[in-house]
Amino acid sequence: MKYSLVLTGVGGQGTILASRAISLAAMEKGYMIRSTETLGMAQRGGSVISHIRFGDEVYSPIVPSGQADALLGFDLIEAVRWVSLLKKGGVALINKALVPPYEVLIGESNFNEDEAKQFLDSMKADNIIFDMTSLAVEAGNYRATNAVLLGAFSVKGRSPLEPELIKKVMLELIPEKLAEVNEKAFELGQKAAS
Amino acid sequence: MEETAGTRVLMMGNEAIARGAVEAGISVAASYPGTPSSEIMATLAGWAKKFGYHAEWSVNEKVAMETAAGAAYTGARAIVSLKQMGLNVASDAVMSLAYIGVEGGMVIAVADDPGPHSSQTEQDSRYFATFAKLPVLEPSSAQEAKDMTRWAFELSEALHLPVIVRPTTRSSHSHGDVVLGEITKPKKNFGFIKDPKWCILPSLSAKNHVLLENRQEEAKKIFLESSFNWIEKGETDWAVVTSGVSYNYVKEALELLDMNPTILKVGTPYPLPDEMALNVMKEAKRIIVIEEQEPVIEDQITRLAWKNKLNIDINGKWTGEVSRFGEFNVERVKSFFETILGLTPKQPEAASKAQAPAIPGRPPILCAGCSHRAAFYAFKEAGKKNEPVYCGDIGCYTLGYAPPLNAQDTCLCMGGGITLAYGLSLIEKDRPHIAYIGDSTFLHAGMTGVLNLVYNKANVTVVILDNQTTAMTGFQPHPGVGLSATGDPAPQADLEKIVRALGVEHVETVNPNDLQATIEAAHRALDYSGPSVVITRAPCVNRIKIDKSFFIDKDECSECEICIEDLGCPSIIKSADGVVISDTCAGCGICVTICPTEAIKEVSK
Repeated sequence: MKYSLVLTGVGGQGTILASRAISLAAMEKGYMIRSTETLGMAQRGGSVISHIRFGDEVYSPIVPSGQADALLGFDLIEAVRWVSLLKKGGVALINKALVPPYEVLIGESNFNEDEAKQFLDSMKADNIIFDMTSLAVEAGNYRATNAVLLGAFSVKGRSPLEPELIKKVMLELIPEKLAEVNEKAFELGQKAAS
Repeated sequence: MEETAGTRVLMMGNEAIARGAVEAGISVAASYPGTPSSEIMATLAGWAKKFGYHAEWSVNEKVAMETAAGAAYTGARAIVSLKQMGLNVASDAVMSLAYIGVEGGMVIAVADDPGPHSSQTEQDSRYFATFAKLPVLEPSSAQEAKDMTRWAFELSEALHLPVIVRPTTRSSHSHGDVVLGEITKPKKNFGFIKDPKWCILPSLSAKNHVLLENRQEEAKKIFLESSFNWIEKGETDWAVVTSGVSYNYVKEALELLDMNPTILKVGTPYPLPDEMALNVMKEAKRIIVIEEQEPVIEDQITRLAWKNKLNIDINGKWTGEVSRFGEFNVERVKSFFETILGLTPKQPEAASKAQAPAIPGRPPILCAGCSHRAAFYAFKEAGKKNEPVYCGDIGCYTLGYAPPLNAQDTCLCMGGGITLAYGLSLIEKDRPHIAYIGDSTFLHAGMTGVLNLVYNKANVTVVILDNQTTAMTGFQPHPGVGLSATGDPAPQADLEKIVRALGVEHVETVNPNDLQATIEAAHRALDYSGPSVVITRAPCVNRIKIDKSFFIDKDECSECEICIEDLGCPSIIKSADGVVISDTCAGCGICVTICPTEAIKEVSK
């Protein structure tokens, strides 16, 4: 068994906590793990990606092209940027809400959201695209978007990690005062993806 | 941290290096932050009290290196951690230290950054190791990072040389499952024994140079027995030599190609254990060397082949098939093999064969509410008429180079902004020259530059962007913060007093979030003839919570978009409903000051 996934997003969105939760869950299951994340400069609002691989025997921490079982996109643009990593028949769980990069902010980009969505729909993969940021706000804080995504992944990621295990590990990583919001966000993510 | 030996835990490569140092029983750890190395010290600082060793963020890497060396002179074990540019800063100490040697184990953990992801250069510190003639170990996994670091102390003591452990971004910032080893308590009974051998005079250097060469041979012998070097026997008439993270890509690329050559996995790239390499070379017709960055191993393999008159092909960087540039991955390594072996490339089937639509780039930017943005805006306003040159430096504020702020015309190295501005001013006498430098960078390498401005009567304005932390690398404290690495109170360096003591007469401290006052201070500094310093002091927005946020009153917004065009704040967004302020507003209120129609208002709670 070998399972690979990538989490793509914008620095500061909580991709690192989400990837930590998945890695620790895989750890509890006794798998060999290699994961890597973007730290440093890009964390200041730049494009970031975390790779996680686990199984009986894994080497490269970076997911090779076309070999990701799942792509977790915190942002529509960042999901499209890394889509070549997703394998045929994989699953893409993507936040419809996007953080506009500067080019888009100042209206100098010809990025077309509908075109991007159409492209994602044309992939030979299961796409689950919904507004995760709104669900996080509903749960109490937009910062809990990563918990919504983890919830969606736990039911639709086709990984050997049980939803309850992912939730448990995630809650262990979060300060107690934020646990309630994140648990609710996780559950909203599960419901929306199901 | 789990203390029990034998426990399996998830660890980042940098944490594993820290654990290896603790298992080895270090007495001293010193560092200056720098991506991708910072987590080594962050981890060590967190464990220092529990395990009873001294851990510090030093003022800069040279200071850290000499601190660790001093401790190692007594027989104690010491580690210094830094990034590759930091090794440049410390190089004066390192080069001489190789000649002098150490008594207790000393490990230099230097994290390289192929890519580069967060660095000015893609330099390969293994070359530095060969230059300084210090042994270097290169981990391929978090487990090896821990085990190698632990062993590096023994090696250092056996050879009486500092030993370099060289992870790269992809081993420093990768997590893996690690089985923990026993922790050794640091010993207490060390002491410095006076001896002429500690004073590097030319006569001693001449003698020690010979000794240093001999130690290279000793190291090779030790490395022959090292468990970090191994041979995996294969079936082809060609063999692969690889090291570090590249080993992982080689394993998976060969799996995809369904090939099984002999692999020599090198954990000690310098000095290469010759005999071991020769065993592989004598049984192969072709050697393929796969290593990131420079041909450090390949050069040694090539020399060995020449010296032993072996008639074999050596493929790698010198033959052009293996790249010197950027970070490797499985696909790149697979394509190197395909090129060398003349194979038709094949790709695993991806979810989409279609070309993805064009998407905008997303470089890192200054955070919403960052006080540097306000300082940049103020000096741009004040300098408008005279087109100043803005010399930047290394830190978050480097991100000010991007439009619309365009606040950095140069960026070279730590502390280089002040002195570059001075050099420019010697030629461009009628133009204002402004040097931006962060608080941590100023203390690291800026003070000497300011002294030089005073001494040589320069006409340069230095802006110390004091956000009370080393922000870019993860908010480490420094001497201006009032806290030690381990979180204890520490004397707080007063930047204004330092600058005055260096001889600067025009010094002002302002809160950059008071934009009008900052613009006025900028005018006064630029009008002043002679060196001037403005300290813009406001805590990093990530370290505080401003309980405020703003919105744009649509009825009063004229859609002039000055807020977007002049600030480049990620919270101010052009939407279908006009310009809006998003949830991510950090409440600095700079946009309120510059809005010509007073349309930006505080959200009432």
